[in-house]
Amino acid sequence: MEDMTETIIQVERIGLGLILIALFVSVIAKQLRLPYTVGLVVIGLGLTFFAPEQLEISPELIMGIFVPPLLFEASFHIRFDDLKRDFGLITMLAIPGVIITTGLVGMAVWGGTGMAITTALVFGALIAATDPVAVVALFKQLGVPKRLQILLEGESLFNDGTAVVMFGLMLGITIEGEFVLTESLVSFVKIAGGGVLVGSFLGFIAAHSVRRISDPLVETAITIILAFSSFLLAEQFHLSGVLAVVMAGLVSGNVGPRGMSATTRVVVNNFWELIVFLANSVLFLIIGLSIDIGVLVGNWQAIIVAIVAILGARVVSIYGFSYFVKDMPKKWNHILYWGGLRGAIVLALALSIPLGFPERDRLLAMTFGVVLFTLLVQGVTMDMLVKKTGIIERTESKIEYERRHARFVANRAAFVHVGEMNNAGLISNYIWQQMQAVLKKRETFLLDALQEVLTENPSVEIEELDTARNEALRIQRTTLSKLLREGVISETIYGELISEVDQAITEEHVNWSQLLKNGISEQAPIKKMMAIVIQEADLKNALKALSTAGFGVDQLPSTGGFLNRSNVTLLIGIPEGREADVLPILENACKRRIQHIHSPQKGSILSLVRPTPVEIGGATIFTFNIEAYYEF
Amino acid sequence: MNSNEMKMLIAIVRDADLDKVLKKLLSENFRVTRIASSGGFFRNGNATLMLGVTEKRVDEALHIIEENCAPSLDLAVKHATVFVLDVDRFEQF
Repeated sequence: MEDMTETIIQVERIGLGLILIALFVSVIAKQLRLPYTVGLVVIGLGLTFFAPEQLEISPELIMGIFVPPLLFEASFHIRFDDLKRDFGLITMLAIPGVIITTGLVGMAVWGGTGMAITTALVFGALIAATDPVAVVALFKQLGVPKRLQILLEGESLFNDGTAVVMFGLMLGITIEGEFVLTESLVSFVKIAGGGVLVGSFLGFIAAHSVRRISDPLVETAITIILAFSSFLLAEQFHLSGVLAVVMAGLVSGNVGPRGMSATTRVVVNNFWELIVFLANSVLFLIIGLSIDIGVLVGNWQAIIVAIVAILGARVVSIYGFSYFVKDMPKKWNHILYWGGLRGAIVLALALSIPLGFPERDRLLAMTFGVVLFTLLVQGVTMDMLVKKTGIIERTESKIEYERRHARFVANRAAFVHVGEMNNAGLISNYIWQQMQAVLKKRETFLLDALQEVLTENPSVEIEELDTARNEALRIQRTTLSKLLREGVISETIYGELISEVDQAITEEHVNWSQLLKNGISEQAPIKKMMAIVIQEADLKNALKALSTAGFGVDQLPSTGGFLNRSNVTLLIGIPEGREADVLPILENACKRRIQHIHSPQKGSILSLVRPTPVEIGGATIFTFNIEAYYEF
Repeated sequence: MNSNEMKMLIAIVRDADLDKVLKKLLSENFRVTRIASSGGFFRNGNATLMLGVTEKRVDEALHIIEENCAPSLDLAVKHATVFVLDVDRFEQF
């Protein structure tokens, strides 16, 4: 008993020391604008020279204590809706991607270092788990599109699971010396699927118990138990603990918060934010501390081979799989590629290679080398890459808008919350009335300030309009599905309405936000109507140009002209004074040009096919005075 | 019939609403010409209606169109547009 107390006190001392160092590093890293995890590793490396003894850290400790909260917090905050969008790509990267990486890296290491192929494959599997913690924080700071963040985070959450399972399989194959494909596949499915089931089940139970309880502290405690117990329970049954935590976080994070009060949500979020900060800090410091520079230097060739192998394999998986995702900007590939950092899981896996395993030291050195490279080189240059690819546009006005918007929303939340407390009798009417006046006044002021930024910056306004329209469509879709489920509407009506919504969601060639804006804001009265006849080939261009300029367009089909090519009649209501704007737009979109068509010449003995020049493009415009114009 | 009193209405409505609007207009004795809209390039299938209407009945026609068009689910899309044009000469045989 005495021994145990002694040990616990010792651990407490070390833990406090590590946290203290981490705090300093995070403050300094912020000043230097470096990912603080990178700073921690560097300091950790430096400290090894002064530390009286090498810090021995067991892989079970890393996996059991540090990994669950990190995975839980990350998955708890991912919304199903966001995940669904790129679920295909994430799954591809997480399952076939990991298998391909394992194979390619294994082969490269086998060829480059001459170690046994089975040993090389063990390395390939363990190194496949990515860990973007170091860059995700940076992404948030820089304002990288959320979809890209979710992609990188989602990939890492799920490939961790697959990589851990693969690693176990490869290790088993190497130790037992035999490989049966069907057996491996079955155990892969069993371990991964079992983990998913255990995690989902526990996440569900937690989400439902949270709904019945309304005590912020108890609810937060439930999330703690969920995060750690899902891991331990799954591991107990020899299932994937990593996947169990991820699923527990996902399920409880998506189902749970609906049953939480606003206060609970704040408490839970703050709690996990702190825990993740602490876990990350200590973990990366430990990573630095446990790296033995001497061993790294001794294995420099193998490390270079490993780095080249992982960089090469990621080219195949990222650029290969993202080829199938059509609606993703190509620039994002580079960010995804370079964001494939390696971290805690990889190290924990490497450390868990049993003593006496062939080439264990070399594998450890290679793993440390790769982790260091990805953190120090990729992590540090990520900032530059993001800026260089220009995937974020953050203007001054946008920052200002964000600031005012945040104040406004915070103020509103305060108003609602204290109002509820007043309703519940927790705050006296007398105090509430005083406070209400102040909050109301601020709200009006902030709302004005917000509108000012919006009207001065059309791009910010359009962006918000777009968001609002998408949200409106999304909720309408959800509501229609709910009505169908509850039997309020029939399948027929559902199909009719849902297709209308989906059409609106997927519409792309028209600038809807502009139209929407014109619909809302005051507009000069429509005084003229133009009937414009253009060729079908120019329709897309013309529509896009006109709607971007804010004209509402209706189309009629017609035929005519040379060879009965289809043309289209557009009907446009022209606001007073904008008549002159239409002409240059159309001139640009429907330029006259010569095209050669191949038509058989009638009457010739041989039916010769001769290219005939035909002038296409152009537009015929009729302008009418109209008496009145209505929109319903 | 005095031609000065005639107006032409060009109404663009969505296919989904077309039947109801047409039925109602016809039952109220409006003369309606429907311009075919069976083109592949149509967004959600709009139909264009041309109505010759005496000035007195313009409001009535507008009212029918408005009443019988269900509001669009998409904020950015209006569900009916009507242009009212003056008619110089109107003859009917």
